[in-house]
Amino acid sequence: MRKSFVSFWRKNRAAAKLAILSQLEYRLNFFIDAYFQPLITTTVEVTLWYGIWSQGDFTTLNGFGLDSYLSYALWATFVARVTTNWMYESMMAEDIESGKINAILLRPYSFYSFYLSQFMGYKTFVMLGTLGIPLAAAYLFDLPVTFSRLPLVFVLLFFYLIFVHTVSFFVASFGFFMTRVHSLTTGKNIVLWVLSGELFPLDLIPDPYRQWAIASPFASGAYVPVAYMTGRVEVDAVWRAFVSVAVGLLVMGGAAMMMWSGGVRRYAGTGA
Amino acid sequence: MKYLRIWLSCWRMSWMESMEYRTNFLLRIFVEILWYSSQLSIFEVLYSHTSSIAGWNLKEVRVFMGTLFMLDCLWMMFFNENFDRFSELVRRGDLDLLLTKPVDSQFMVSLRRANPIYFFNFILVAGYFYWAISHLGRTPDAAAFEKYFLLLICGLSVLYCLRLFFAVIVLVVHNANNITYVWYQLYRFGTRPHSLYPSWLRVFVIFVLPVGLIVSVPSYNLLFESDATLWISPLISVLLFILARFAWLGGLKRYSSASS
Repeated sequence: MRKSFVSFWRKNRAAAKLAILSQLEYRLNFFIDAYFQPLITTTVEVTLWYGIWSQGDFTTLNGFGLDSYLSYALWATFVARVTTNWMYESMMAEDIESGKINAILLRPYSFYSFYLSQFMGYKTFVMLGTLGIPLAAAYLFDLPVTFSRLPLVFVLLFFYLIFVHTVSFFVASFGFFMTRVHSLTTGKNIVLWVLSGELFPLDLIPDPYRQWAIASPFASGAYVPVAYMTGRVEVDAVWRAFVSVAVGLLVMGGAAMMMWSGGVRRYAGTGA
Repeated sequence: MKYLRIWLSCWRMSWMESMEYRTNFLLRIFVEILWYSSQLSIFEVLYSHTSSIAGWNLKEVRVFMGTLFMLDCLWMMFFNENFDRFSELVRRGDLDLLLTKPVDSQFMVSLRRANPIYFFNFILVAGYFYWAISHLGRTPDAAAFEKYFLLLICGLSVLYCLRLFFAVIVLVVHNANNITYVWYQLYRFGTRPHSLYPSWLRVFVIFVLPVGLIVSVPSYNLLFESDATLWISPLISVLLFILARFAWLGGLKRYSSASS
């Protein structure tokens, strides 16, 4: 039992390391992706909210002041960058479409785990590497953030990453049945952009849609962690988010397994 | 005429290529509808809490969004595919092949590929724009529409020039896929009415990084009384066009084939 766990751990660690090393291969690209881009995105988001606020005829919006929205925009951009999956989903789909998947199918390692470890490894690396940006901005501009809430937020984010990867695995499995699945990835990410709360805080949505949006597992991709950090919601919302993501994981896991096994059965080994 | 013939041939090829994958074709139309909906959702949600932001009410913002979508469709239909693939073109050395052809390299790089999917989307968003105008409560006069279409052309030209500047960066540094994403982030400043910004940022989006001229200025001049931007926009667009041409030629001089 212990031996099998050690071997499992080593395999996953190696895949995570591989992801980090391959991303570091092109340093300028990595620098832009990990630092420059989030910095610009954050600046754009914060400025947009500041603009709306400074020119609008309101002092509070839905009960929250300017500081709360600036803090939300700052952290939502950072969190959503971590929880969005473009690159690894495209790589999985590409592997299936082109037939590169053969090499992975022959290994004593599942396709799902191979990419999950890479995804988690890279995202952890980026998350820890870029955490300084929102922290410094929150400190400099004295924005409302409860730092003691960060550990629970990170646990929720890690849990959510497994869910996001499962969704990506589900989408990539369409590659067995369709020639191109890139549009599905784009469509999925646009939907998540809104449903996660990256675009605007989900509590601004009128009822009853607000309750549905917040209860969905996708809200853990930005809204719940950021709202908890910035004081818009309390810890009970985080516990509900854990349950929601767990249910989402079960549902999406089941659907992904069905798609995958159906796809592998019809796969001829020469690219889908 | 020669260039028109070449462009028509390229368009035909792109059409055939797009129709090759029918499901993908339909999916992409659907994905664009999702994008439009997501862009609209932010204002629809914001205006459920207030009646006016910076003098723009929801009906006026809908006209702005209609303009944004129409211009976006035109951009995506004629230019975007070329610029999105530009980094790959340079990295794989395929640009060398284009440079050897007896046609202008900037023309080939900018208009070689088209995306006919957006033709259908354009019809859709033009319908949305018409709906937004007819629900405005007042109809802008013919002169306002004339100014609007002129400024829209200037806006498209500004968008093209700014995107070309980013392409020139790729030409010099070769492997910089992510430059494209940086552009998309900066472009977002242009996806909100410029009156929403504080005065220093308004100056920035009109004069420094003139993304405000792309959609916001045409919409503003259609909906409200014209201001100095009516003259500034054509001036800047001409200036940028000249600068972009020089930047392209300068970039080509510094370009050392990536494939060798």
